Amino acid sequence: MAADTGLQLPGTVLDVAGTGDRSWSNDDNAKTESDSEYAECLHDKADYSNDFRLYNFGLTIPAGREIKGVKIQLRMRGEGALDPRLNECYLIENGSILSGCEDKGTDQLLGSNWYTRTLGGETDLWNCSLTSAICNSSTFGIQMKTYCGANQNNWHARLAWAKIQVFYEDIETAEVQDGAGKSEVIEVVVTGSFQDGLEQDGSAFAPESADVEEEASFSDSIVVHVGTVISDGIVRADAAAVTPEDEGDDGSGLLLAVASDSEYRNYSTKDQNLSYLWHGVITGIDSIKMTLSTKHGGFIQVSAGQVRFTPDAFGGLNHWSFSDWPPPKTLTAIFRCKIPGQQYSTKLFEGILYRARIGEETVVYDVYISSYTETIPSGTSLASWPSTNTLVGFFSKVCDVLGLTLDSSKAAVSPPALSHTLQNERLVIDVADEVAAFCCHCFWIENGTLYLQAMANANGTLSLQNTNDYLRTPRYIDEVPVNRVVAESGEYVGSEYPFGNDYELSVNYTGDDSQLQAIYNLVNALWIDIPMPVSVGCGEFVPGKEVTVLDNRLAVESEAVLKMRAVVYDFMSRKITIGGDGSLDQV
Amino acid sequence: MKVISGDTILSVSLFSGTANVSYPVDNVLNEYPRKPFKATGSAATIRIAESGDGEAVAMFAANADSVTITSVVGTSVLVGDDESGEDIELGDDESGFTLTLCDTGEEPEELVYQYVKENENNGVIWMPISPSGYQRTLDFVCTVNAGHVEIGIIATGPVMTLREMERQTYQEGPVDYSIDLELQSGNFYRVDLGRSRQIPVSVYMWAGDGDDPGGDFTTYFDFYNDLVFPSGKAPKAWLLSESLDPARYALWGRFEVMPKLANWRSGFGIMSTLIREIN
Repeated sequence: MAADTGLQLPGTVLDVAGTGDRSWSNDDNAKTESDSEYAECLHDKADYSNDFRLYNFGLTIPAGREIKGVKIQLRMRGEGALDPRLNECYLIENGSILSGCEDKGTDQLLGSNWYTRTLGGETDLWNCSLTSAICNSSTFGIQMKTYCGANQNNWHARLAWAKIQVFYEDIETAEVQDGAGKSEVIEVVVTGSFQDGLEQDGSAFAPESADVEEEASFSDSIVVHVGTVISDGIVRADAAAVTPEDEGDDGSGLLLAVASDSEYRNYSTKDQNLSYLWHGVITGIDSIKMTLSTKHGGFIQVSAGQVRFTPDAFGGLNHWSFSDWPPPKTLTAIFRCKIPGQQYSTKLFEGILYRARIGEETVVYDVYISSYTETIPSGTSLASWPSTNTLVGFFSKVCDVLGLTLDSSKAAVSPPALSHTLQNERLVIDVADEVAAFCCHCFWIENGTLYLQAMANANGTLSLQNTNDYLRTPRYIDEVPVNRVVAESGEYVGSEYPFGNDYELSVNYTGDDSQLQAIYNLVNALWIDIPMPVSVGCGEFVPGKEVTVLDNRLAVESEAVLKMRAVVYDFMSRKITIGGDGSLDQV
Repeated sequence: MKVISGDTILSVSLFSGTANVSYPVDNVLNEYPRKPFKATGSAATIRIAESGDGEAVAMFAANADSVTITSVVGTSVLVGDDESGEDIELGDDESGFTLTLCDTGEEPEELVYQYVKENENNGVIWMPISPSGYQRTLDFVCTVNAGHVEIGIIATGPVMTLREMERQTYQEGPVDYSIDLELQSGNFYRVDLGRSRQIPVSVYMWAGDGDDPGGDFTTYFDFYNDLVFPSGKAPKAWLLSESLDPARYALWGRFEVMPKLANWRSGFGIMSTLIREIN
């Protein structure tokens, strides 16, 4: 398991004069994440750009950690189908290419649309001998060069931004342990998006209706990263990076790192005397929920409601207060979960706090998650939009548009082809959510990677055979049965529940009824909610993890097996509830 | 029984030693023992500017094995402009006596108070000091035998003296704030949110006119007017008994229940309240 620095922008760029035929202009635009402002090189036929160096990424890898890999992202575009192209790309330090460094430029055409090119990866060292000292150096970075062939004069090569992410040895594993000494090492990555209203009764997932359209509201997305040591990639509005932190062995519950334009504070629901002091100024926080948009798949999303602070957390009343009064309208926040005996806290997600109410007793903020706003035009055929017409091909295209990397290793072996033409302009993330759900897949986004997973596939296991592992009253819920799944002209009619309802999907994304039986099985599946103490569940959530529960309080001792789809963190009552579809059988 | 009723600390700074940046020295002045000052070494000197009215120093959540307090009364004299901008000059007073400024050659008054930890003190240090009547500097030289200096609270101010508790009978009951969640096994998963003592207080006080005829004790109405009314539930440093070990009977606590007075015609009455330890 590797920790990582998160994707970081460079602090310095340099057009190295005399190293090519053409110089770069507007160099500093490559330091900010914007497509509308870019560095560019105006090429003529058969000429090269100067070397363009991007470095000073402000990485803070702990000393002595083994470097596991380096990933870079280049957001680039050219002007035509043929040229210009990325000619060279190396890692550098002190203005020199690192010894033996692999060139990952390889003459890749830039294309005429913005595209985020990912080079290297979590286990790719670029054939270099890297150390934490080298990576932390302010001169460590990227050197790239573009080339224009014999096709056209006056074509631009453009670079909107570049980012680097270094993966390094994680000496701490996120280990949870119960009172009986049972423990498990966790490796979890989860992504969801903000959505309100899925939770009505405290269960992790409680679909009340068989109508997918009523459930679908997935305009925002976030990155959730659970169960490993995290380097916070969070950057304040003044562009200063928030420092990664370790927390010490003691303490528990919610740790909230909050940043304004100029200040950074550690807050919690109680004073936590850790390696950093976390001030107990949070008087309340709504449950943090990660949920799947439908019972048969979709985008795993996060909602977090409100956070309430004591008023003296603002106005400079204490040294731990934000100096601003009135309280800042927006704050950047990282939500973390900590359990005693675990040295590092677990990062749940990042978000934006938007001021909702100022009162004499509390200052209330709503929690928002950053969003993906890219759209697919009206009239687009999903069969021809990706280069390969399968579900995986579709998500590959989604990742191109959203600037993400696709991990489809847990997708179905034979993903279905798509057949649908959009009638309106739609958000990419919304369409992706519906397509995934229709094809009985779920997906989440973490650190720039979109993970696509078939609902049928397991993703690790967790055994709760010890009755000290979880709280009383797991719930086993059957929704109103579905007899027939209908999607446009396709349908699947089951035989088990002739008294059941229709489950109508307004769009048939495959154009046939090949997926409908799988949807039928999932919507009729038993839903299981298991409450557990924070100390067991913190960091346990990973989509698809197969959880086995021995329940000896039922009339007949039984074993439940479920695939985890949802989680609710209730920090005020120190309880976590996981939920998912599964089965219940007599032992 | 005593309580430091006021706060005469004007400012605090770290005179020597280095603070852990997450735990600055002014944390000793907040009312939360769990927001302490932490040094990065085994010795630190905290300098406090004090009005000169303090009669006791109390420290809580303190791991110091020894504390030496050096009290220095300031002697600087400023001669400058008056309200009209005129120079202040030496001259005569209204009675015709000549006003002069002279250096008597006396060194500033310096008093040293020393605490050395002998037994487990529960993080509590209580030291009587003499008021100076003039603003002074209190240097707290704190050392630990192992680890880093850590001080939760420093309080100093005028002291109210009350009688020992009625019949010298002390009761205390800790309250546990833990959350219990019932596990599937029937055991409880316990979220430990700490405990604190709650101590019923019952003290015989003078509630008539004038001073207490029975001795040099704070009267009920001074107690109410100078402590209860202005401070309310703000925590204060209490020494519940002058005859018992401060390690157990000095605490940082607040009124959990506002004091009640049962008075009778003699002018004496019983003040009763409940003090909750803040730890």
